Amino acid sequence: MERREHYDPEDIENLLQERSYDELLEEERAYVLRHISGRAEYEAMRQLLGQVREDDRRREPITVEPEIRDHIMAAFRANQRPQWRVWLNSIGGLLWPKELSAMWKENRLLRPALAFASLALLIVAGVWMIQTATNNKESAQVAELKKEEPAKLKVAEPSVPATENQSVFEPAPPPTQQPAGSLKEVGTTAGATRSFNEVEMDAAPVSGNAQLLEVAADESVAEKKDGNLDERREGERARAPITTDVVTLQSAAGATQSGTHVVTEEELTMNTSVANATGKVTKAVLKEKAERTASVSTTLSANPELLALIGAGW
Amino acid sequence: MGVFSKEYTTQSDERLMELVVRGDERAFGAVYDRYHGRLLNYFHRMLWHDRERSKDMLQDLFTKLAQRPTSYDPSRPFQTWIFSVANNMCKNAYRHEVVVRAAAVELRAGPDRVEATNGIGVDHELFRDRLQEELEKLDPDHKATFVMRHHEDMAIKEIALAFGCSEGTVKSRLFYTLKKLAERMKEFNPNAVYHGKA
Repeated sequence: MERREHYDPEDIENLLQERSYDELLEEERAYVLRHISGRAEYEAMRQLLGQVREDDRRREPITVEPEIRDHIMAAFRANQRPQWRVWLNSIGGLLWPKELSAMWKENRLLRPALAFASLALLIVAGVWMIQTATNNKESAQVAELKKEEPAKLKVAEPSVPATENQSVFEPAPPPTQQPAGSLKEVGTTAGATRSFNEVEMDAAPVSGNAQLLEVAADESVAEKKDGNLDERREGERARAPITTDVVTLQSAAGATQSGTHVVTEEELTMNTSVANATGKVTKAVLKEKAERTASVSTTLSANPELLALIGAGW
Repeated sequence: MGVFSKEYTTQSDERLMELVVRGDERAFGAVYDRYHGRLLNYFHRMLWHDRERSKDMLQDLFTKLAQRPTSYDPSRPFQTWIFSVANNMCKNAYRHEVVVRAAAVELRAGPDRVEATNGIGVDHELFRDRLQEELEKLDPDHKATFVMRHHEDMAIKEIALAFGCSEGTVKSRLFYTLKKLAERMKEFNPNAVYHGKA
């Protein structure tokens, strides 16, 4: 009797699964008959329930292709990646709320102000950055042009007078004899080349120094005539002062580079002509100039005109 | 169980979903492995035994779960939640294809009645087709309740949670569905002996 009290009309399912109509207790049968017309209906329902279960057992389960799992897992992976779209959406929501009226509400007064101020700031900053980048590029190009012009002047002009002064330094040929004393003289030549830098400021002393060199050369020739030294030593000694000259000239060129003096065309012509007397000096000066120009801008090193001049022997 | 020793197969559905919400891919894979078969069969029974469509629905369901794992309500058992989602998807499919379904039912009307085979095994194929036909004539909620109960072996309580209704409602639906089907398919009862009221 207690069990029957637990029965609801819907609980007949349990009885259908467990017992046939004939197996029902009196109380159970009475309960069943309150909801079902009779034995036939009870048995039909019981039979159907059994067939459904049986059919379910017999049915082959449907399988899924592994590709579907792969697609789903890929979707999960893609969803786990940080997405800029979310960030952009939030920015969009900040700048432009869905409810336009919310932009002007008193309690949200700060929101549109902040949003539009941020927007304006972004625009201004963007324009300023673009302009700055453009100006920097243009000014860099102008600076290169400005530094390129004097380089051309210094390099292009001095080829003409070179032959003049070549005679001044011609005593260098091999048979030159230079006694120990003459080294000092050449040392003075080095001193003269120190004044060579000063010559850059004033062309006048160049001739004087050239005379000194000429005298030294004459002396060495005279000593050669005396035949005091053998030719081998003479050659070495003859080369030594010239090397010294190159070094001093290079250092002089460096000094000039560090100075603020602007070299005039005249000075340059004179200097270059003096330097051309040895050839090595010219190359050294040109090298210095090329290095100087290269340090200013790397694009000058790619200047075809300059390269052509250098290639032509400058 | 520690964080570094996750036995995904032994974890409860709800625990797995916690991990899924945190982005645990293996937990999501475990959930899929656990439910894809049942859900596929559910879709298959609910959607006119259309295999391809059932697979599409399964993929849609898990893709939605992958994209929005937070849509799961942790206060509910996962099984009832996922089946309620699946059921809603089926309802949407019904709404969109009422006409198609009606046409399909008519086309499948084939053998309307089968001679009762007293004492002999019922032709299971015929029974299956006929049962499907009769189920499709039912209200979608009644059909879903029947499928969940008798094919997915879900408890009355779980079905009630999945539908968001009382257990009494579920029992009532099941009883009257079974009664209706028995009446319509009585020719399949090999032991049909009509004695009238006992």
